[in-house]
Amino acid sequence: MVKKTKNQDLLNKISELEESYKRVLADYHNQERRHKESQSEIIQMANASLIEKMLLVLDAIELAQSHLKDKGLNMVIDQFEKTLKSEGVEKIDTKNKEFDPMTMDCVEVVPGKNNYVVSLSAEGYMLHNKVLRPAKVRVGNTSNQ
Amino acid sequence: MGKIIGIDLGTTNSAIAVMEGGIAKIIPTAEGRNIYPSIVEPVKNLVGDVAKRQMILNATNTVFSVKRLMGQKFSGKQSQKTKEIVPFDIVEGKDGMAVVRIGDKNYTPQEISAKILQKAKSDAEKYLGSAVTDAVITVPAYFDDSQRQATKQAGEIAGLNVQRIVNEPTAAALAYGLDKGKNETVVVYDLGGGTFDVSILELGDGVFEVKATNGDTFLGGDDFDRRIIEYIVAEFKKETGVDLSQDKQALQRIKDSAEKSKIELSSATETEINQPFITQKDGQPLHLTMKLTRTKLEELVSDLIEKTIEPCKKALSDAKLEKTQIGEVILVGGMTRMPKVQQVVKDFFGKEPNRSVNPDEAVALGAAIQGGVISGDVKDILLLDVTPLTLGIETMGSVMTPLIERNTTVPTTKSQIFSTASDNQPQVEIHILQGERPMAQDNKTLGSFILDGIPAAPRGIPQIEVSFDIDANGILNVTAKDKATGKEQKITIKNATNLSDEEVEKMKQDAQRYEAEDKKKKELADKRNEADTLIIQTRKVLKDAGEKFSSEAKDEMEKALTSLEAEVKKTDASFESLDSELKKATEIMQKHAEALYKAAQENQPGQGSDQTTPPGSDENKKTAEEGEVVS
Repeated sequence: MVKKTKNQDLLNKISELEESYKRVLADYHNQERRHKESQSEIIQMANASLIEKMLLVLDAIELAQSHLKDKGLNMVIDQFEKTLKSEGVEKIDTKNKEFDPMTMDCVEVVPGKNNYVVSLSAEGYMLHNKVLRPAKVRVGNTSNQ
Repeated sequence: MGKIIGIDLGTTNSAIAVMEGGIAKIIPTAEGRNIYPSIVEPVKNLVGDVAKRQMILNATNTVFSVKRLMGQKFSGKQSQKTKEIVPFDIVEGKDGMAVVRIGDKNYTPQEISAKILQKAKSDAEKYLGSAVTDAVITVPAYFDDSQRQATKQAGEIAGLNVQRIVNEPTAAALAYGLDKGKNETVVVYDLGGGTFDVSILELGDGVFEVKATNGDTFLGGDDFDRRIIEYIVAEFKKETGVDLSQDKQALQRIKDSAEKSKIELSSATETEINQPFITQKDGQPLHLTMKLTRTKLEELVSDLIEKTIEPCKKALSDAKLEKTQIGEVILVGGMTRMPKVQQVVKDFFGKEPNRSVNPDEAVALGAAIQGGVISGDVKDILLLDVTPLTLGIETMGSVMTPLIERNTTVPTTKSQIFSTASDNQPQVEIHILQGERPMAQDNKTLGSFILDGIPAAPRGIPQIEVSFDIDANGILNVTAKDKATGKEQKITIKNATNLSDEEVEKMKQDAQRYEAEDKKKKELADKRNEADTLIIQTRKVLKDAGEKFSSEAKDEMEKALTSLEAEVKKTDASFESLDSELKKATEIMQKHAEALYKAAQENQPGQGSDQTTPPGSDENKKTAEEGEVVS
């Protein structure tokens, strides 16, 4: 009888260990899978933080241009934007679009067509189909008129 | 049971974590962030950053700070105060409870919180790749029974079995690993985005008891931001006479700058706020440029920080404790990154606060650990050891060649192919070393053995595979195998990972102390090996193909070799003298090798010499550097 319970104890212990072993193995496999996924993502998104900082500079240049209206500066902006595009950065199109919180950030409500973008406060950008920075927009509201 | 996730359901931000491989980890949100705003737009079902972005447009339909309403009567002080500061409507619901009214529908705080938890569930499922059904959710220590009940209901609405409701300070203490330590009294100082909590916990045998809790439910990082914005606006007005407080777009830019500079001033002592073309005056653009120093920031918010001290005093007196009885102070919440906050806490408790865990993540991590304890994950996980020091063998020139690097998790196996150092070498000695120093003699010898019976072959040809295998008990098996004959030898070394802390520390410190000196020695040894290789290979070429060289060339080469050899043999040869001798010799070899090639090409056009590689050619140099040879 004693032997039997001892055997049972051992069997229990084995299944317990097997269970924990499987758990760790599963954790490992998941980790591997995620590692692979994140690795390709990291390669794609490695530039994201640098680009984000550069966008702030572009914002400032664009603001300057809206005051200076200089032909040469226009070329600089054009060059800047082309470079971004070649790195997979796309401007978020907001013109006459319905407000979409997935890609836009509403900074102000102004008179205009309900729930539509009236004007842009800062450009938004996508990097490889992920929102790098939502577009800052002013959204219309008829009751505001 | 599947994984139990831990959720820090915060007033301002929430976070999710899970146990993986015995360690608590933050689960990134679908947007790739470690925390997400506790903001919900229930009609369109938007949660987190997405809900935050449409907040201004949709202010009356966007719910934030709903935690303040959990389990609260509508007539209660807390509900009324919250009603004053939020743009959405709070009304009286069933049983006199506070509910949120959006359009013509009432939402209970539980339903709104459930949306935040649903995001946690779905983001966790995406991350883990499997269904998540169970969760541990944290609440402030002062939450009463009805508030806890409401939190539990929120979890159930979100489709989660709430395995346990845990106090936030308890979770934080778990994340700091304090449950494993001694019995002691711990202060948890939690300054988040919108609330401040201080709790005093008593720890004993894995049991946490909240002795006292206090705080200010309307004090947090948002107040700090506001102070900076007000300051910037006032300064700008002083300078230009333009009031930016009415300019929404300018304010938005100032708000971004304020947040950024607040964060920067946690590590830098000064930062610059630059917002060109912030506004116009008389048709001329105006720019916002100012310096903000840490000292100025501290001055702006000093009363806010001081406000946290009174609750600390009250909590201590409620717990009937003296400051001296506190064993540890831990910091939670993003605002505790501010050096001034740390300083004030330190000055008050007379103790350096522990900040070893990311303050934004501590509560969620602790909840995940609690989840792990419940599912048995934590108890059952074997605590895997790591090798405290590097393990390797001695190779040519008394160099220590590492096989298993320090801090590798065991069990593990590593192997590498080595070869012989001289022609027809019949045996190799495998000298097993432990330590961080590059030269063999400076490390600890764990053992050595000899593998013999290697068939006669030129140096570098035999392939000897050396494998290191450490099992979970720290037992090291070293095997050396001659790939040609299959003959092998091995040794077992017990307790390879079992060093006393002092031993490990001493060896690490030695490695640091002698780093520069060791580097020189290693470079000298490498140079010697390089010279040795050149001598041996050139001699070989001279022996095999000597007739192809003129006797003058042979003489010159032999002379260079002899002189190099003499230098190598000198025990006190310097790196520089070896290097210059080696360079001289290499040049001579290359010169003659080139001449040989030229002659060969002229004699046999279209057919290059492929019999022997001329000495000193680039190819030879490469093997000389890379060839690792068992001494």
